[in-house]
Amino acid sequence: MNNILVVNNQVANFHNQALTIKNNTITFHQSGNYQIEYQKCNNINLTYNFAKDIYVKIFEYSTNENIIIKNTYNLCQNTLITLYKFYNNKSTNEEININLQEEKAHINYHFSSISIGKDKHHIKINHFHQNTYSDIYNKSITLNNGQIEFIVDSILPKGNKGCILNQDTRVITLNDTQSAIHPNMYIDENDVEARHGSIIGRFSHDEIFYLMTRGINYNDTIKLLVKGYLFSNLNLDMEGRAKIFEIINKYWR
Amino acid sequence: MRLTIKKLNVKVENKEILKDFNLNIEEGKIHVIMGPNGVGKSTLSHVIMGDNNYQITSGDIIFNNKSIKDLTTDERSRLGIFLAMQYPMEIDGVSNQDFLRTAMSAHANKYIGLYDFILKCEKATEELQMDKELIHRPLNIGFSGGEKKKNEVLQIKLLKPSLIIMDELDSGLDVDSLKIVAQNIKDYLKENKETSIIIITHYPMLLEILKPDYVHILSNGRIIKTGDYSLAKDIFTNGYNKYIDNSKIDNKANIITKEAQHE
Repeated sequence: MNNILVVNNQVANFHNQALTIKNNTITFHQSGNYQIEYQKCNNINLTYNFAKDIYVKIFEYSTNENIIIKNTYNLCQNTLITLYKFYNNKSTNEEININLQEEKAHINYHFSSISIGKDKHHIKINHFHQNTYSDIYNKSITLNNGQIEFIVDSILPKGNKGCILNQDTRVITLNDTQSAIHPNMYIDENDVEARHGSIIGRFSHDEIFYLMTRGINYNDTIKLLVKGYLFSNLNLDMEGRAKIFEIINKYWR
Repeated sequence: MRLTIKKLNVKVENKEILKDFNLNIEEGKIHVIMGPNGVGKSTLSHVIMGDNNYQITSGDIIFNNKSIKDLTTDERSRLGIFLAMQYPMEIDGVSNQDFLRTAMSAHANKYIGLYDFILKCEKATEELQMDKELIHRPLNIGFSGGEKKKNEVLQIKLLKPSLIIMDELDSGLDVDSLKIVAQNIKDYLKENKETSIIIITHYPMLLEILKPDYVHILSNGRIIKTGDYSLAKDIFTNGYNKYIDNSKIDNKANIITKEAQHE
């Protein structure tokens, strides 16, 4: 795992032949696994470029105060990017642009968060070429004063045949605030496979009851469900899991 | 272990499900609750376990000389009551191992280490002829009907309850799996002689192996007849009609309910 730090809104120096960094633009030339952590950030503007024929797995992690994020991901031919993201910021205003620029560019986007303030995520996926694929999965939990809004725009212009568009966003509310999901699919092509799902709700009574019938108290039951819910969207190594465990343990002792 | 249910009245969404229900279960006894669909059998199991979807309007549930009516579900479980469910929950993301260890730790009131867990779990899964991979999978996700029920029995073996309520544990099990499950329950009872069981079932095979002490017919929210295993055999052959059509509470049922009232 290669750890890249973004400190005070700037990507820190990182020496690796597999990528180049210039003016907050990270260009990946080779396949690899990376962890990118935002530290002491409040306004991030990053561009990620991915060369063709590579597979890159990234874990993005942010536990900041109030933060604005504007990131762009540009994918070339036959590039597969698996992006796992976990946020637990005081508040977040995020704009994500994913540009599938060439044939067989494929984004696997898995975002999880524990929302404790006002969070907004606008994710725009542009299928700029035929036979491009997007799988967008968001799973968040609202806690304390947390409220979250997702706007997910999947955009497919006419003529770009054979694309697969998939988006699924779920929010579990553990408080009484209002959250919103806007799943938008702007599709101007008949030759397409598209699917979307959106759920805002609570953990079910039956799930809670089942776990409690095994002697697990309410707090630990919710903790178990939260862990399961968040990690079912994040396939991380031990280091990544440990970071999120630490956050979960902070809220559910 | 001793369970006494006294004059219990239970409502769900303003509909009365159990009416002046009485039951007395002594240490080491196997009771069967039978009855047509919708008479309140599953309600009874959920009420004993403290499901707050069900409202107790009057009466009491006494477990080992202590009222458990006001205890939470987890507290009742830690006292030794276990509900094996007809439809065990599928919970995505929660690994079976994490779930089992958390439950074992809650019962032991101390953290159960991985080595200790593996030792106990391996023995139990072998006895149940379970695929060990199921321990690492999300809880009940992708399990067959039989695997889910074996996973319920695995929990019994690990948590060691003194009152087991089996709500149609035998549904969804093939003949071979049912024999394995029943044998494991039988072995558990041999090792834990104080343990009692309430079996809710529509089928004879589990009863043939476990040989219950009492069989009760539940109708319209109360027990209308109590007998021994021969009553179950008669129901499997002839159905419920003759008992329900003539649903005056019989003497044997009365004896048990009177005992319960005197507790």
